[in-house]
Amino acid sequence: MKLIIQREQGADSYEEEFALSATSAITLLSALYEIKSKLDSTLTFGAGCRSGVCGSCAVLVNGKEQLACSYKHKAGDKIEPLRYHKILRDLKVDKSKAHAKIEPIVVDEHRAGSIPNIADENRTKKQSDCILCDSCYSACPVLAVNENFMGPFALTKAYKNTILSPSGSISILKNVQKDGIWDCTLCGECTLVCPQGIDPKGDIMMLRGEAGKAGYMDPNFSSMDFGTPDFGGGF
Amino acid sequence: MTDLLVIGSGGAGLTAAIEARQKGFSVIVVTKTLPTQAQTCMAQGGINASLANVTDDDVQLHIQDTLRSSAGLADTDMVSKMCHEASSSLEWLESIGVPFSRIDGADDALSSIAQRRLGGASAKRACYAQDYTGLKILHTLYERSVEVGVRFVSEHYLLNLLVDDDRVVAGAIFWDIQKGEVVAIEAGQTIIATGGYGGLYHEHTTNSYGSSGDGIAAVLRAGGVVSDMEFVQFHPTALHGSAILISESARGEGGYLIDHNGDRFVDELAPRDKVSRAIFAQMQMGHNVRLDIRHLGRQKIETLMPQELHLCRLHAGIDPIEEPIPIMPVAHYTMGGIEVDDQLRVRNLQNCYAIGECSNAKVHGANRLGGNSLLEIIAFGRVVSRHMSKDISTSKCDIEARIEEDKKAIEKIFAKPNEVNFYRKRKILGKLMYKDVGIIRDNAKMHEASVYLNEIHDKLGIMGVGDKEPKNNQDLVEFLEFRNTLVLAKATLLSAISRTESRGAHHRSDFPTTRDEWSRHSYIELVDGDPRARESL
Repeated sequence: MKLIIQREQGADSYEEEFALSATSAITLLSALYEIKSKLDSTLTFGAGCRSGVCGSCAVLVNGKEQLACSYKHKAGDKIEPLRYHKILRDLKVDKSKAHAKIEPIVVDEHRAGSIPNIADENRTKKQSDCILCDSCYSACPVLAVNENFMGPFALTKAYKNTILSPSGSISILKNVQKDGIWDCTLCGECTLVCPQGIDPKGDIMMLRGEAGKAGYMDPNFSSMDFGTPDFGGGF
Repeated sequence: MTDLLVIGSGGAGLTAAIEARQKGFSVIVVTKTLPTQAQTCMAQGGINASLANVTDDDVQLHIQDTLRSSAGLADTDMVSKMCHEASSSLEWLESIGVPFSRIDGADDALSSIAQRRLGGASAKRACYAQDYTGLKILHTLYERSVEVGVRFVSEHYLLNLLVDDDRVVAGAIFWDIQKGEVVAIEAGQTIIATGGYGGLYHEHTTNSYGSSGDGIAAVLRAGGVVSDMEFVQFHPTALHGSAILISESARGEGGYLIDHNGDRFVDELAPRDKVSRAIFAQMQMGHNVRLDIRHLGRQKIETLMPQELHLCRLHAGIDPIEEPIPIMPVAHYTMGGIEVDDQLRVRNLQNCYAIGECSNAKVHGANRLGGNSLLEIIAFGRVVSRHMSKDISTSKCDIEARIEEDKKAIEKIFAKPNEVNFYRKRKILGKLMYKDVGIIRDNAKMHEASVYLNEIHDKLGIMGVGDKEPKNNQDLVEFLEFRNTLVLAKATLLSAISRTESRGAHHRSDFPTTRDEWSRHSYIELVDGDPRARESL
């Protein structure tokens, strides 16, 4: 079985094909380790828990984000590093810039006064399943044109925190205005690739609703071109 | 120079960091990966606190359950301290926004946390957040750390503690993985929170790749002591081959363990160590053991165990609705670790603490009670920050000289011939420790293992790295981790050989009973770089 891996070694960037025995490695992550331990010790990638909760091993497989530990590779698969991250070496990327984007949405006060119940648990259950694997960030086309865009996971966390901390939501909503909720095109790519089944697009829409209630407006709205008004009728 | 250096970004490290930061300390948290990739994220079951939200409970019952599980090797005062901290620890987690599972109609936030019964508990005591308790605690702690201004230094691998001749610690030396440089981080006080050593059972553990006991090995090299290393908890049901954990809920819901004839052979709900031994005994006879949940029915399996279903299909290529799951017991939690006093100070070292799985705070003894590991990291993460003071003795460590030493050591590794592939030896070590120093032990097998271990050790001189590029060198980091596991494997083996009894997770077929004279701890130190047992402290 052959795997094609995008290599980034110093200034060199190239595709390399590796031949693996068909049966030995079960997941893509174990295949990467097989290559590293037997064929090429310079191959560099992220690895951790092997069971899909630590977020270390997300890569692109044939252009789509996958956790290497949770993906069964097929012959001819092409493996690349995540998009919109600085590549450190081969499949290993620098996630510090992406992760710093949660800074504006963390809050110090939680749940002033209210007593949570099962309904409250359900309101943030999915959002708090995030493992910070950066798959959604890599899939987001907005980041191709605006590198300052906060990105899907930070906005999902923002939404989660507005629920958990009603008193903190004022500052969160303020901090997601610029390069935040209004910059999203609602294309839903983030939702499609999340290994935890989180729906950042939905969370961003919820945040827009909350922002509207708090008096914020879509800044794109005033500059939108609605064309010539058509009142119907005519001849 | 920072007031406090925390090595390790799991639940223990982050809790201590947040609390110290709030006391006005400058805090740096160093991790060899990224902050949220720590092992804490894998904890599913829950965190114990006798809140009595669902069933009657009492802190005394929690203490009793913990002591019973520990098989006489836990320290009553430390257990009592941890259990009494439980309620306020949960209150704290609640206040920083951990999204726990809930019950309806509670009188206050703390009472609204849902609780379930875990093995060995006399009440529904484990607070949980669905099956992601550790993940959600860890990520909430991370957000809180960012909010209070903890400084994170990622991708720095611990090489050595900075100690002077009086063993006063002044921080630590790290390998900056991204830059490929040796750097020192100086600190008034240092907390080691680097996790356990389950990684020495490579491919036979539920632990993540990085569980190589780096902090424990560093303490040994700095002149500290480790204790009770022979106590390793094995989880009965991991997937055969991949060692991926299949949660206890599969048995809790009524799953059967069956032998090669399809017959049940053990009470599936007995404590973890008993079930693990029964399965391992079958395996020693050459029989495969499987977990059968087919009789629970498709609907129940799909609703209650969606994660397990997915993991079985992916890693074992089988559908548990149609066929039984091939399983094996694997290393899950290491009870032993850095010897600390009742204030969690590392024995023999000054200005240095150890918390969490890397430390042996004597709260688990010979066998850990489910739900107490998450409790330990939060409770003692908070306790240790109370002991922090800015009034400390200064270290006379010659930092420049120590950096030079470690630089030379790394250069030496790069220069070594790479004649023996350590990845192969890592596999062999894992299998050897599992077979001979695992669930059922005996003198003959362990002495044989000792010969093999020494053989691997002797080859270290011609074992190096194939990758010679300093920057982002995963090969080097994994080699350094392997070296640490090798030292800790020896320590584990030595302690297991000398303990001529069976107690908790340590079971010897040649000494099957618990003996009163062994109601004491075992200690290991390094003598000329080699682990040696010592009788007492």
